[in-house]
Amino acid sequence: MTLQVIEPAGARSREAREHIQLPLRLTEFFNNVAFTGPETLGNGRLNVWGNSLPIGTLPTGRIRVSGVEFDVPAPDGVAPDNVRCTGQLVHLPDGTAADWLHLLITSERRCEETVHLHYASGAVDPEWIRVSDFWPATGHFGEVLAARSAGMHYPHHIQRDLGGQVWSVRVPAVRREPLRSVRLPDNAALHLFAITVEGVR
Amino acid sequence: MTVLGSPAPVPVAEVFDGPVSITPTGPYAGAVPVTSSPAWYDDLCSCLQVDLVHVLRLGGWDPLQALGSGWRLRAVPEDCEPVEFFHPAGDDLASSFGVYHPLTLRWHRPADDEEAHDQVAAALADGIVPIVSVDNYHLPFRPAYHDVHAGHLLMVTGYDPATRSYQVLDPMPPAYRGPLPRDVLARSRASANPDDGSDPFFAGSGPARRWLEVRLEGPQPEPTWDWLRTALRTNVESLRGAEGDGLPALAAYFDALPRAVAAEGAAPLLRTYRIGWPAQAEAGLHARFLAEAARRLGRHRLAEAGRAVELVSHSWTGVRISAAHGEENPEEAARQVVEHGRTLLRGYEAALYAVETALDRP
Repeated sequence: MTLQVIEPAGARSREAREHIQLPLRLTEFFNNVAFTGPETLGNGRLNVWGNSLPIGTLPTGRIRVSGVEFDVPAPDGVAPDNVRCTGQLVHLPDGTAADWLHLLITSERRCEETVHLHYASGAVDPEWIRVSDFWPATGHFGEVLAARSAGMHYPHHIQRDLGGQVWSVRVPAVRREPLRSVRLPDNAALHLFAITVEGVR
Repeated sequence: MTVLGSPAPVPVAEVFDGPVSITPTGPYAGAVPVTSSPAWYDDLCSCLQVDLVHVLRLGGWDPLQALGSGWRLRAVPEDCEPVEFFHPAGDDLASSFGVYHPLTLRWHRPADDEEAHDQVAAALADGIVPIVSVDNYHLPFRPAYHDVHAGHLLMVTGYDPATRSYQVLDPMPPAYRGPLPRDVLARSRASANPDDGSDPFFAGSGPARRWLEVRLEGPQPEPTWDWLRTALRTNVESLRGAEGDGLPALAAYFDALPRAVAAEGAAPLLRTYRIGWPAQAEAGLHARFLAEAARRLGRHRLAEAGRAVELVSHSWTGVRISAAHGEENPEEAARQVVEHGRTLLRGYEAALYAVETALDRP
């Protein structure tokens, strides 16, 4: 049965809603090297073969991906530059209004996992997080392609005809109350670079 | 090989846009040549499934139906060969690929380089596209070239005696289609693929000049709803253990893993990464097939069942990746693998239930 629209929404419901984005810096959780330079190829740990993406693949500082602002620290090919997800609990600033979590993330093979959202009231909801492969692949889950590298770094060489990918993924926060913490998936396939929380009023 | 229902007329081959690089001859003459590789690369698949897709497509079949209508989960054998194309069915590949189809898959093992070339040339003359086993270390277009030994598959689509050069097709990234000197392919096929520590998963077993013959023995069955229902029912029975493997065997595998790791260290974990590849790929192919069939037949519950099957394929990632990184702390990795394994098994159960539901309700 196809539903009928009886009457279009009134002007009031078409008013622009306010979107407040809160880009968060994840440096203290970084535990893995995803970006390397020609001199630091051997440090890459995006997968078990030691692949990594060239520094510069993902722009750094305050960057915008499809209308969402992220905070991306500059990698140096030595210090960790991403969070390999092993069930870390990430606390958010008090009173964070959240309707969406936006993540710059990639995966060692296509992945579908659970993230737990802890709200101010103590309520907890599991939500799906779906991430396509960092290896050549089309975005399987309708994600936004945040970056594609011009080459793939191997421990001993640079493969110029192979590119890697970072995705912008979103997760809904459906309760109408502040979000307090996020439990990342316990799945080492996932490599997280940045999170932005977005509230809509 | 099990063929369900009565044979249908030979399907009309689809027309694909894109560059044409292979002109089938022999029994495949008139079939639609393969187009650009990316159209048939699937990031869940290994070279085994990807190459089979290309060859079946060359034969005029719908490869997704041929590879995706059957869904099996073979028990893990004692000997898990360290190659990218490892399959638990061993030489009996037709028990997992082309189920319900008149398809023959036969490995050939020529004795020396001369015989290896002669067999490939004869197959090409007969209209067969041989899938040959190689060691990536010797192939200039592979990222592993002169770096890492790894057992891989590619397709040989032609041979030019004037230039002593094969035409080969390898759709796996970075993907290559073009000439390859005869002596280079011969070296790659004859390599010992030694386990020199350069690759933890796919080194240690030589190609031994093997090649796989894919022979379409008749028309592809017409995918009517009656045919599909029977196929799906048979799949569910098989996965529930009717053929002696399926989910009970997988559950037993995860149950035994911690003890195996305690006894052998990381080796069973590395094996788990390898054995998970065909299972992940084939759940993905089955999911794609169900999604396509659901669209064609207008059956929404079948689409939902396909999505449940797809979740199975994605859940293999946690199992495989936690196993792959297990060398540093094997016992902790075994714990993680078993945990992901339990999630995976629940996913299989949910998928089977969804498929059964879709059989009776639109």
